[in-house]
Amino acid sequence: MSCEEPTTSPTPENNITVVSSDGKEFLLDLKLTEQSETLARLISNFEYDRTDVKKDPVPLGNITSAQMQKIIEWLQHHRYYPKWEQNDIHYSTSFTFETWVEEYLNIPNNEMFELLNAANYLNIPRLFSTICRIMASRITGKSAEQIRTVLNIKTDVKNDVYTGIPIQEDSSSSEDGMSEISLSPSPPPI
Amino acid sequence: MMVGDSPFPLLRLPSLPFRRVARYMDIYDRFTLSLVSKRTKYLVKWINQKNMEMNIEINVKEKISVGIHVPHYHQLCCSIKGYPENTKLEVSKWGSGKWFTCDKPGYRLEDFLNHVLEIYHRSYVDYFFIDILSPDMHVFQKTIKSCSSLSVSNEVTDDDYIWNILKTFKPTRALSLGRGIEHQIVPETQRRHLEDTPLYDVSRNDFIDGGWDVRRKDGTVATCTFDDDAYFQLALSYVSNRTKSLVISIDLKCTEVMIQIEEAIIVRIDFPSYDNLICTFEDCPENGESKVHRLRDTREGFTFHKPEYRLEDSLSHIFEIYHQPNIVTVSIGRLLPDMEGFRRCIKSFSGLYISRDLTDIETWNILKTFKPEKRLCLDHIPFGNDKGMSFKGLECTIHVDGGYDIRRKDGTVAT
Repeated sequence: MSCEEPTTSPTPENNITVVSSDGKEFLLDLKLTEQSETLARLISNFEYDRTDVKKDPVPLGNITSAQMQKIIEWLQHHRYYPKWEQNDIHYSTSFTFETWVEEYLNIPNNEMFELLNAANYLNIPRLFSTICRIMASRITGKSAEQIRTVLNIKTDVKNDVYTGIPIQEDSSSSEDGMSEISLSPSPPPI
Repeated sequence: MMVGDSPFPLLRLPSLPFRRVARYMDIYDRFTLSLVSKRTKYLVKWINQKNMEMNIEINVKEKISVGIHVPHYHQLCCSIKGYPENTKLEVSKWGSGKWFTCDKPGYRLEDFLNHVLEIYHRSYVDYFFIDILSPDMHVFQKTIKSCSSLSVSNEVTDDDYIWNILKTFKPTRALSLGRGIEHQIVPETQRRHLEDTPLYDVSRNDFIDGGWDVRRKDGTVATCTFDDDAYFQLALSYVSNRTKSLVISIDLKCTEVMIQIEEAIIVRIDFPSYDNLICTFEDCPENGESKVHRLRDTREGFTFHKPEYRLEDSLSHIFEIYHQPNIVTVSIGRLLPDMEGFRRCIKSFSGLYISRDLTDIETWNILKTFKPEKRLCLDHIPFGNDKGMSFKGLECTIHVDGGYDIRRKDGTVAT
């Protein structure tokens, strides 16, 4: 059993083990799990914060080891940050991120997509909101045609084969439908 | 986004992240996203903009535009261009300079209207203004079930067309037809009753605070408020008995009414606002038709003709809607066939002026008929003498050498 250790070495009393979808184990400080509402609720329900309770590894079937690694990096950085307040759930014309966050999220789109799904699954509001805000900012101010380009939506109009008249169609060849990940016990409130 | 990166699969996001991303967009970006594809339209609609506090208004002027206003936030304007052949939508964000033109082949005007209403879960609009004749009212009939406030420009004068508009939009709260009449539901605290003294609302100079409460079939009460314009009010009072009593109920005041009987009969009405109206009866008494215009502007006017109305009826009408004004002066240059009838419609007058062109007998008859009690001016100068005198409450300016003895009912004699 391999074990990835965060920067600060957790003691057996104040940590839990999580297992990613590819079977990799990560030892997490209980302090870090407070940022994930999914994990925090699980720890509370199974009383893993008590030293006399046997702590079984927690399987995270939707999170790969690479995603978990990235998430632990986020949790470590925000270890001593105040609790996230859900007061910025609407559009704002001015927002900035610290340099560390910009570098942290300077990743390919597919990784960003997976990270957002992982943040949603683990219910980490600060990470979830940050990625959502960045994605919204990429669309801001664009025309419909530009958004089509950014999101690679081909077209939603094609000619009727019989009449040649344009007909509306739900196209987006690259879009296969909404992925259904709904394992979060309690999604972040919107 | 990194160079050479694949596009972010926004539409593959689970519902929660997608909704949050959409919430971080402003109304302009969200609306733009809804135009990208049918799918994005449903996704944007899905993020529950139903309870969003907003106003949607449609203006049909030279072009058709749809304004979406979110209080203390942003304003989005969608202008329909190229209607009806090549309909395009120009979307702009108020004050930002951002705009783009969206050309969705196959989209007609009703499709664009439906699009807007659909993503905001609406079947009605808050305000609809129509200025010109719409090419096809059926377009709106298909899309808009009702509107809160309907305003029809005074450019629209065709009765059938106005009736069609009313049937189509079914205004629920406010209706404004052309210049002058406004019908709206006012809060209970602001509602006024007929016996109240009208107040002039500084913030709404154009309308009198007060009006006519109308109880609808559904139990709600609406109040008709009135344009603070004497010209309009007088015109409205002539429309029907109901509108006449409606105008009477708002307790209008005029400062003075002057009636001049010359070739034509001219009634001048002065108002506290220094506005004046002139009613002219040209062929009286044969024809009771009156022409009404402003003193300062003779171009604007209307002709009122009611076959059964005689001069006396028209005068009574005026005195009635202005609640028997205190100052009425009559200047007589010729006799009317029925001076007694004319006198009866004036309950009290403050001054009588008699022209020099009348004979002594005619003047005497007038004095007998009118019995002036306040002010009398006899503009009769047979001897070139000009002398003024005042006695026993009757101020006389008599331009004759001598005078007429007037025996009052109480036995006193005035000269």
